[in-house]
Amino acid sequence: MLSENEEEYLEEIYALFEDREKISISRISEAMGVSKASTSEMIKKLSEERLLKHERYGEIELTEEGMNIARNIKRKHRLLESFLHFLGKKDVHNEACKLEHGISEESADALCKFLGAPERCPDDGKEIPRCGKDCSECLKKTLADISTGKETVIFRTLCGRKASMRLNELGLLPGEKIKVVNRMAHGPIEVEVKGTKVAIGYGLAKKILVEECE
Amino acid sequence: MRIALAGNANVGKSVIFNALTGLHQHIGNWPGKTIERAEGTLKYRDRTIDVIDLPGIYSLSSFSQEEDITRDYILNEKPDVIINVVDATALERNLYFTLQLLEMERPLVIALNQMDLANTKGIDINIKELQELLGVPVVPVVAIRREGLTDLLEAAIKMDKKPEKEVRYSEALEDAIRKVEERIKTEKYPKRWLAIKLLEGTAPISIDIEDIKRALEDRISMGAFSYIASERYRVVREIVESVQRIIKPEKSFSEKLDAFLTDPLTGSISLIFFFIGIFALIFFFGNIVSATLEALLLSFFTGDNVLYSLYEGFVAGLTIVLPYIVPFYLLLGILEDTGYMARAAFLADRVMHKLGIHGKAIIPLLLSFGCNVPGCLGCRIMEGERERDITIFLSTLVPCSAISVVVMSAVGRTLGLAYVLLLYALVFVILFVLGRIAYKITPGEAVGLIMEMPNLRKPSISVVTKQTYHRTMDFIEIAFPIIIAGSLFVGALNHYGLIEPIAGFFSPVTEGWLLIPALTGVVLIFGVVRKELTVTMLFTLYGTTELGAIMSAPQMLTFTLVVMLYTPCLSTMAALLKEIGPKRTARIVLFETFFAIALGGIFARVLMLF
Ligand SMILES: Nc1nc2c(ncn2[C@@H]2O[C@H](COP(=O)(O)OP(=O)(O)O)[C@@H](O)[C@H]2O)c(=O)[nH]1
Repeated sequence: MLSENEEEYLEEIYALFEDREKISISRISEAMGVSKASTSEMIKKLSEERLLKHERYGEIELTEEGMNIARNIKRKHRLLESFLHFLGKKDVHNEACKLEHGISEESADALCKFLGAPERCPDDGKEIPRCGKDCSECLKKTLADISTGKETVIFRTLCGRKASMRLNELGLLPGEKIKVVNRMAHGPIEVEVKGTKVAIGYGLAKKILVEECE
Repeated sequence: MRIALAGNANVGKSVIFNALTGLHQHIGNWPGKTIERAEGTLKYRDRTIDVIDLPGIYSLSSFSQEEDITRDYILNEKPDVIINVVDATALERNLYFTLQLLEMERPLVIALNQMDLANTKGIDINIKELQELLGVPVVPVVAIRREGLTDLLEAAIKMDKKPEKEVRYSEALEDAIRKVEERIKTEKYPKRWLAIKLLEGTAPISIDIEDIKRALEDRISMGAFSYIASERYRVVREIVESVQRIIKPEKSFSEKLDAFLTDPLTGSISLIFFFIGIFALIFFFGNIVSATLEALLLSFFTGDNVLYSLYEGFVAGLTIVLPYIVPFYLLLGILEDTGYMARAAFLADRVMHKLGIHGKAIIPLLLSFGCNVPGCLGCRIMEGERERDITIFLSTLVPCSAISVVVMSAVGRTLGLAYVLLLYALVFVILFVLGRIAYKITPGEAVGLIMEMPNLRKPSISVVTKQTYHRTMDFIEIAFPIIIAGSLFVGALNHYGLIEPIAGFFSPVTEGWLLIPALTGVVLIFGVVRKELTVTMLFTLYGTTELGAIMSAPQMLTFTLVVMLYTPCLSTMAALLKEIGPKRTARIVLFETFFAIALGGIFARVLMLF
């Protein structure tokens, strides 16, 4: 079992790796807002645990094992951020930082499924690493994927509180069958719901998970 | 006796209001709000009845000002009867709101409007049964033909008790409601209504019921708000299923036209076509009428004393209102009343999104091409302060018809059309860039487009004329005093020979930085009153309409660019003050002034390179 602190470091190194930055002790300490001394101490420790390789004065590189752990934490972090965002929370980053160390693999997978296997984090738009298993079962389409003339059933809305309430009041509720009557490519989508027509912006449509019907 | 009209947007409330009250109306604003408040009186069988038209809304949870106003009015002012206007062609959507009105426990009568359209759509509604299910009188009406209005009045006058039936929701919800009701001590609001609102999280007061809400959410495993919405819709669906039959669901002409007008290809082409047409029409028509009118009016009197500038100001106002504002409002009113504006917003949403706002912004931005004042006032339709602020800011940067006059007569006449287009292109790029920046730095949550698409229909002449009239009066009220006072002030400056010193004072900016003649500093100041004064005054000051003789081509371009971008005119400032208050107005004015001058100087230096 790694400590929370160790996990935080691995996560940060993964973020730097993702951004294709040069990974050095000074860069890590800067990104985490800690002193260089404690960073280099931690790097030494992680290196002893064979989670990363660090030649003196050279670049830091995650080992395969380290990479897997780091990616997994980042995945949990972004899934949690997505979830907190769904709950309408504002400062999702810090809370996700705390929760990510406690959540089990099973719960993370269930959360991923609940959210319809999202590709990107709503907070920073970065990619959410996949769990490595078959996604097709969890993957949900969004309203933005439905073409004109097709009917579909709303599964869940993942947008902010205000927008969600407005949609609910217009009858766009989970389980409601709606029909896409018109749409612009990468533009708004017009649906028929409760006998009237409602236009929904593209960004919002991407946050409305749907279940296709035959 | 007091009757309040309430209902969703676009159901025909104003038509009913107008039909009931005729000319006995008073239109104002709700205290502290920018939303129209329409009140009127009518005499019926020796009785005087006050009628108030509450703002059209989607539902009664507190989101927008409209909804707060309606809710507060009904609960605090307690009108004797509420007439709930319901669109018979969208029963399900409309009854959702009716359920909420029922919960407010005021005497209620339902006006089932647009029965004519319902008939052509093949919708058959069993009115007697609907009446029984809801427990309130339901009167079918066709407002535009005044059919059924007497019956409606009779029913309203007779109505003196609160609705007898109570809508029952699921057991889980009823349980929670009962528990919340036990904690409510206040008598100020109907208990059941307040209990539901507390569970939804949209109540006007706060009482701690979190535990009950949480227990409910655990039991139903979804959010309370969504659950209540779905319960309401479940009840509504049951009602609609038993009272409504659709006989011939056949595609009507209006639906086919709708498909054509909102098709990504044909729709976009017609949108562009429509707007170019409107601008061409207004522009050519407006220019001719405006010039003739001005010449005519100014030929009555001549003079150069201070009082004369008062008259000039009046003429200036008139020559904007009659030729530009009225026709523009008229055409716009038609587009709105037919439901076309919602289509335009739909088509434009993607492009507008690049500016950080959504499709609805196309309406105020288009208005701004005519005149920035209605543009700024039109920003009210943007829900969310953030969207409204960005749209207002962009509206003030849109070149209005007065600016087009400047561009045409300064640059167009001397340098040709190509340069005119160049300047416009430049301004649009700037607009776009500033829009992006405003989008990035304006705080608040971006709300995407959620818009009901009203049915496409023939415009009603009375609705359009009425609206044009009110909008024009609104404009006159804001702009006229300012235009006249501004002219007076400038006239006084002129009279006391203060113009030259002022020009000298600003010469470091004009001559030094913008590299244009010092006298232009004077006209730029006058331009704050009205933008087209910038050229007309240049003509007078130099005694020629040949600007080519006064300024070089680069100077002319710099001068025109500054005129296009610098401070909003006085009337627009007045509109801004009314809409967004002094602080934000000051911010916009200062920013645009400095920005235009800074950019103008850079532009002048870039031009020197050629
Ligand atoms: N066919 C038809 N159209 C109507 C009727 N009542 C209102 N309208 C139209 O519905 C539109 C919206 O009416 P308005 O009174 O402005 O709606 P409000 O938003 O509820 O005030 C207008 O174009 C009216 O002409 C009606 O009984 N039949």
